[in-house]
Amino acid sequence: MRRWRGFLIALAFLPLAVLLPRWGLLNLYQQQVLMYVGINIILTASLNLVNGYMGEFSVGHAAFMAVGAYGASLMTLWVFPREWGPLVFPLAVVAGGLAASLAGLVVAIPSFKTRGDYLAIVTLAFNMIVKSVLENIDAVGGPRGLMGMSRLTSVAWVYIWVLLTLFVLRNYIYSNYGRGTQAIREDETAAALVSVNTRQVKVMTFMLSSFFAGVAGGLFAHVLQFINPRSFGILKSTDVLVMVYLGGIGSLTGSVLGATTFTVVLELLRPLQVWRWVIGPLLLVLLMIFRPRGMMGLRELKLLVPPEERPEGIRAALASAGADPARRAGGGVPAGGDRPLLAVRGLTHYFDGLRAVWDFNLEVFPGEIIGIIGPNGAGKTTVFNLITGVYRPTAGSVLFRGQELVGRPAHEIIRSGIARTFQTIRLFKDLSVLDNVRIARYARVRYSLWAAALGTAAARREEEEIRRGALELLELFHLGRYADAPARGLPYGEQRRLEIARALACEPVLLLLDEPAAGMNPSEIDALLDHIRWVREHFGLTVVLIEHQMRVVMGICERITVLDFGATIAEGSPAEIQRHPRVIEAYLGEAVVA
Amino acid sequence: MGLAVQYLLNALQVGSVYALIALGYTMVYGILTMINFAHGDIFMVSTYIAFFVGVALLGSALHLGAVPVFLATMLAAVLGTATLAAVIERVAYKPLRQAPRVSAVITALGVGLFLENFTLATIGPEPRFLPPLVPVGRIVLGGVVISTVQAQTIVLSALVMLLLDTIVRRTMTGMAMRAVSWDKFTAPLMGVPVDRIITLTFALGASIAAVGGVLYGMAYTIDPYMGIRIGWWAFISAVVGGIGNIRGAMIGGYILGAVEIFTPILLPSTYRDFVAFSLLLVFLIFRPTGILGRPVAMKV
Repeated sequence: MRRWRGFLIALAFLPLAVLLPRWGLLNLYQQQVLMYVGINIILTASLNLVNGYMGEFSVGHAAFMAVGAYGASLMTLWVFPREWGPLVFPLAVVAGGLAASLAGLVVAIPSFKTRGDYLAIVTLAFNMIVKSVLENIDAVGGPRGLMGMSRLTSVAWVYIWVLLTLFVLRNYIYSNYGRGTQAIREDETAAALVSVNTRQVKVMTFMLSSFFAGVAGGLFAHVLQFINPRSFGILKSTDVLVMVYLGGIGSLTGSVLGATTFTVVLELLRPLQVWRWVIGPLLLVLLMIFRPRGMMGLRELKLLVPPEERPEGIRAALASAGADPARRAGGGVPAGGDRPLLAVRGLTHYFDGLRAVWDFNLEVFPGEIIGIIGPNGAGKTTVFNLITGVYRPTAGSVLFRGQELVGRPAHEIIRSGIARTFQTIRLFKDLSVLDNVRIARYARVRYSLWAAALGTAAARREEEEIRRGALELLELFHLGRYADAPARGLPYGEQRRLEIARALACEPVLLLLDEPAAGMNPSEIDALLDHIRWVREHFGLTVVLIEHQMRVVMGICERITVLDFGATIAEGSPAEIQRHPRVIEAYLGEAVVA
Repeated sequence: MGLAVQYLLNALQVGSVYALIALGYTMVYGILTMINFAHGDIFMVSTYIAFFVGVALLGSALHLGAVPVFLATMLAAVLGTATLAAVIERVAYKPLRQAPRVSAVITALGVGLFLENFTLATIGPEPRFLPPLVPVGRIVLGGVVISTVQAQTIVLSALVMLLLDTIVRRTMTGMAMRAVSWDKFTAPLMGVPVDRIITLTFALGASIAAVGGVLYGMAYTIDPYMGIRIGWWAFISAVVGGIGNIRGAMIGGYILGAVEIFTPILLPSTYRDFVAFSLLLVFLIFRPTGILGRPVAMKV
């Protein structure tokens, strides 16, 4: 029950929200301002989910609010008899929210391919289209809008919806789906390559966000008692943006603060009339220049962090988890079979006519450590990108455990048992070390989105498991003490190790290491080689390693393939490779025969 | 036949203005990959400068002829607007160059709102007419009526676009702009003064928009919020043509001019925005690089 405590305390204040207006302690104006504050909190928190947590840039939030407002109003005006109003009001608000979340789907789909500025324009265009469509439907009043709704929204209803919004959003953010959302913000490609189904996350996040925007719209319509398309234009969307960035991106506390401050300040500036619309934007510009991350900026008030996610909670879990090396051991090097684990045949890839990889072939048997070497620009990383589904090869096939990987999305390939690291470290820098590892469990999560949003016991039990597993893994890699620190603060060598730990959390059979020794000195390289051998033994892995430094591969690999200009120029044991004339030529230039 | 030509001329007139504004969006995007959402409002300011200068000149005791009044008004609008854009760039955008792109876009939205509401608060919401800078005349050619403003708009816009194209392709400054747009980090190593080039790009984009502003103001009423709709249409022009591509912006401008004039033939005129924004969505989803843009490959 500790997890619910904050919300239970907040719920205890509900009678006040009912009684204060009834006792006449809040006049109508004060009630109205309070309701606007609450509605704005819902709007702001919901947009923050997309812009702050997912790092996308949605600027047409008013469109979803409009859909919710019209949806809910149509319910109370036409679908249900008027005298049922107060009874069906929650239903109408939910219906508005559902309609809005369908609209969210329309924006989620283009976000698969477009990002940043372009997605911003898509959402703005969507906002304009929704407004324009509403203006052209006479049945809902055209440009005049809808009127005659009863004043069904009360301070108490707004209060309940605010609590519900914060509760659901908090649960979502601290679930593995929510972590996947934040991973997209940090590095979308890397997220997919640690098994996050980025499309699924985008659809869920956009729909959840739009749902609450729709709820806010439904509440808004039943405070004001009339709505028209103009109330939901770009100006409204900009207001919501201001509140998000004023309070702070990636922080629910920030959303509460931002929405409250903005609403109250605008009310206080009311006597200035037109000039408050001059001061508002000016404040926004100043805010962006001097405090671009807002008042809270990724920080969170303790009340909105589940107890087990607070630093002391993580430390306690760490102490009880401990490093139990036997627990996760995969049982030594897998026995070599005669069937290859990975068989790459005729892999070819062109970048706009530029040949990056040409007829690449590779067979990897269980338990092997294979090296792919070659000078810079030889196409080594491209091979990894082709295997893991970052690019779709122009031709060729990749069979893993007998199954074709070409054409499958990256997250499915990772899920099937391949994991990789990156040449330039690609951690989720603003997230904690622990979260970096937990995100890699994305594909293994069994609880549903609903369970996550409602924080059910089953979801929490599984989260507990994920956390214990991740902490054990961190302890094994001597990273436990950094668990709640952001990944960006780790020293270089630790970042490399964390990347390997994160890859292992995907539960791979085959591990692809992309230049793990980059930027290391000789003694660090020796330690790394020992580490790789140990990881292979401990987790029972097969390893493919990319390197351009000879000494790394010579020391560890059983077989080596040499690439140059996208083509395989030699294959064999380390000793054979060292003597191979074409390898010497590729590395040192043409041999000068004395 | 005559009617079709008439419509086409109207489309060319409106399209010219969109194209002139679209150039500013596309140039800034090309050089900074930033969408300057305040650009439509900068265009709005240019029409107000033209309004006040025009009123002052025509009301003065100088009794200048039509050509000097027109040229002086145009010059004042261009210089005033360019200065405004340069100041905005230095004060509001430059401090954010290292910040996340989102911050710059939000700042631009804020600057735009500021310009709109400041104009509203100081000058008032009522629509205004520019005084007649040039005597209104009409040319009749085989049943087709061309107003002098229309002819002026079409010809002058084409000349300005030609001039810009030449500046960007043939002068050292133009080469510096292209260098900065290719690689902001290498250009300074080659001796290109990046900051100055960026400010200059903003000023140049605003100047061209100001030419459009004066020409627009001579034909239609002006008000503080006009920049929103026209700015959006011009922005859509830039995306349709291929944002970052100068010739694309010109083509896009004429296409949107056609959309504006020909949509009301088929649908009620209230559907115009719907058609324009749907066109934008279609392009963003199916061909985000526009008509003339090239696709960019992702690098891992």
